[in-house]
Amino acid sequence: MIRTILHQLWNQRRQNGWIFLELLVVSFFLWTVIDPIYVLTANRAIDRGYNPEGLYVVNIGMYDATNGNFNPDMASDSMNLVAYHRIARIVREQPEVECWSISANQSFPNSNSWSGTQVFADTASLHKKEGYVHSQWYNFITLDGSNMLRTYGMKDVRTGDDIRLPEQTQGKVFISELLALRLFGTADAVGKKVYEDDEPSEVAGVFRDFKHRDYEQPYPLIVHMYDDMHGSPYMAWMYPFVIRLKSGVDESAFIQRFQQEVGSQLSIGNFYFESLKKFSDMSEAYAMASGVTNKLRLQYALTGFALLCIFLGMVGTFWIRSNARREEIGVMRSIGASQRCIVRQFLIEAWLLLTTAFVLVIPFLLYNAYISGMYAVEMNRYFVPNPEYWQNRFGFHFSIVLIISYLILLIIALIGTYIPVVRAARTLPADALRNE
Amino acid sequence: MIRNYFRQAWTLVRQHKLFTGIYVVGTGLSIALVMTLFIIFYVKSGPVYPEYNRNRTLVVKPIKRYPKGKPENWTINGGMAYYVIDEMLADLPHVELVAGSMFDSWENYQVSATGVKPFKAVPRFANEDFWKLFSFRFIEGHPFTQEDVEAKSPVAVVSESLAGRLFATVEGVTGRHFSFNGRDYRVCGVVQDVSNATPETAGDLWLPLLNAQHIRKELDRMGLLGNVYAYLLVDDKANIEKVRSEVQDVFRRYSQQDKDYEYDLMGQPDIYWLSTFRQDLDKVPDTMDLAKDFLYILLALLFIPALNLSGMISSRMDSRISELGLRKAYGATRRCLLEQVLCENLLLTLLGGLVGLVFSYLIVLTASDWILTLFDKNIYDTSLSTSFTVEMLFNPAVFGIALAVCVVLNVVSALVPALYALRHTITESLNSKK
Repeated sequence: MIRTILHQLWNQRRQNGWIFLELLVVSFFLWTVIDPIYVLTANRAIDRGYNPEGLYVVNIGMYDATNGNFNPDMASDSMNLVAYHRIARIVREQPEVECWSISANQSFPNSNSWSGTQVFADTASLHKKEGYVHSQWYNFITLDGSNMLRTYGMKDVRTGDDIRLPEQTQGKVFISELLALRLFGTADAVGKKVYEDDEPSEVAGVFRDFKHRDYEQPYPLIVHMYDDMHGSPYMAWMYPFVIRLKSGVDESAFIQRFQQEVGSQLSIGNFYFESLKKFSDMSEAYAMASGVTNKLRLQYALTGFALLCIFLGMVGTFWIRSNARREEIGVMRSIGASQRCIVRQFLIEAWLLLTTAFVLVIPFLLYNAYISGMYAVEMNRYFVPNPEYWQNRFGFHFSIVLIISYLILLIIALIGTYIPVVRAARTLPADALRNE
Repeated sequence: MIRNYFRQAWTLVRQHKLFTGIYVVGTGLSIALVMTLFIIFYVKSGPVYPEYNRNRTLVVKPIKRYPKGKPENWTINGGMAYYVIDEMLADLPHVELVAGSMFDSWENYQVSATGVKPFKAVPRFANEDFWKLFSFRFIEGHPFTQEDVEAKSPVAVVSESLAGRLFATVEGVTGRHFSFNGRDYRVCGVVQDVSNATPETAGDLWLPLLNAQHIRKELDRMGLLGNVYAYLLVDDKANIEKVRSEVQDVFRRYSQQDKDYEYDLMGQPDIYWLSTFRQDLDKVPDTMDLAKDFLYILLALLFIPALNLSGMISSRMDSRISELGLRKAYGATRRCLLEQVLCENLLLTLLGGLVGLVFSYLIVLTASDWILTLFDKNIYDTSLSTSFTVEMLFNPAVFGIALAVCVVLNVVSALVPALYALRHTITESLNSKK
């Protein structure tokens, strides 16, 4: 049978030529279009390292001198500090709140802020300024039970349990698994010293890798703790609150109550309640603002376009070809070939056509991937890709996108072939042979 | 003659419904996507309300500052200091206007009026030249003046819809008072709404530039860094390069006399359309890279469907070879037959083009919230809505490009199969089919 099919393909090479050319072009195009979709989806699938359910950010605003509500008598740093402490207490004492954190400098996932530092494992490398690990930092204030690790649901890397804050937090830090591995070659780093300046900090715990942004990969992270806030005109920006709701709380009722009742109570001094934002909404907003959502939309649209073209091309080509070969189909059916057998023959033809085109394109795709690189989410110039993730390994990354493109293309091409062919195969031998 | 071709084509259309269907959908798809791209670029860089002078406008947004000799320790703010538009760029040769504006969508600005609860509004702060450079349509009243800007007068130009929300009317609003961030303001003019499709001018209300927080007439420790964007109207398109190097000279001279800091314009001022591609704050946009990306997409959008169409035209030509042979036998020239084939296909392509254009309008209108930012990497969240106006969608440029794309698609897809079919001699052609 294969020989007959190969014969057919060769004899009709001119009619097949256009669709073959199109398959070549689309195979190449499809790989390049699916590449970003694969990387973004794979990044998204990496565990976040925290639990976003029931997490909210309470943002506080502050009137400045250009605002009519500004009260100059309440504008001193000490007055601000007193007012802000009162606000903090109101927020944390809400009955729905299970735990809370004063996450300094917008230290929460999908915030607009990203702060980095150089972390050293010993003083020798610190003084030579080399051998450091570039790391993101989060800060929080350990005041009145404010606990970032518990609120976000960060887990201990070894036990998988919640992380307990030490009695004494001064001079201690928590670090992520990735940072521990890069600094010490092991995740077992509790008690070791890390340096950001001459004053060392002791590692109080190692938590599971943490993603600041959903479509990016985990970055080394270090969490600092401070005892108290500082009064300043930037307090509202410096110290947003993150709260986790108790399980079973009706979230929409909470949001409504908070905005209507609690919001007005937070207008103290020159501060006012600005917004209550859900973690999942912030994640969506960040994906939109950073262009990821649009990138995905564009790539999906282009994939759809390429596939639709192939579908139309296959339908068109095989419609014409199966019509032109009605006589042949008639003969085959009259000597006992089943409908299924005829359809199978055409499907194998389509598969051979597609597979040959696809295989021919692979060297060009490889060359292209070597020359212009494959898609990667740009983070910053210090970013070191973690080879644990497949999307960071050339061979895996290339092949996975290749397989995905091939399978999708195959399914669409076979559907496009099946529709016209099954119609042609259904004709009765007598009808088909009348043309002879 | 051409009428004849079209008549024949129309008969073929009716006879071969499937062929027509696939052909029209194929072309339509290609044209819909190409036109969507074109509309995005047209709205972003063509002359649309109120930014009619874009082709003569140079833009400077954030600039970079670093301690002398340490370019890696740079700082970038949201824009520049007011001093830059007020003193440094004033009176440059060939520059007619120096507009400055500041847009702040982060801050929570509230407006209210008697009997109207406070609600969020998005202000834009501007100087006098801003009103001259951009052609706002005033429904009533007039813009504020440079004296208002310098005196920090509590006056504002409001958009039609904001006027409606504050005063329940858009007429006779000039002179009425409302509250902006707790301060009393007087309306000095009402303008037709500006869509967020023109992000350099969009806003709910416009206020004197020096009324904005953190903006001062004098330089402070941040030097030339600040939050103001500058727009320069050049007297003639031919002088754009001249003005660009003049502006760069001004900054170079300033850096030379500054003891501590060096300033870097990062390739600015940009001609308006280029400024819309400035995505990374600290990098000069790589125009070659951008062009390559767009060309790749454009070629794919045109050529993949073209291959499809070629395949179909080629198989249809096969069944018509005898007809072509007959025409040749009666003296039709090659050129004449080629014309016929291209004309016939053009009818189908135009049909597809029409479907595609309508489809691209549908795409743009249903995705109006985000479609203009499709290629952007930093999208500033604003509560302003993006609406498309008639002039953005129905204009000669859009129709012209749609037609050109049709013709290109037609020629690309029909030429090769037609030439191939015409290659045969008369006898061959006549014998080709029973």
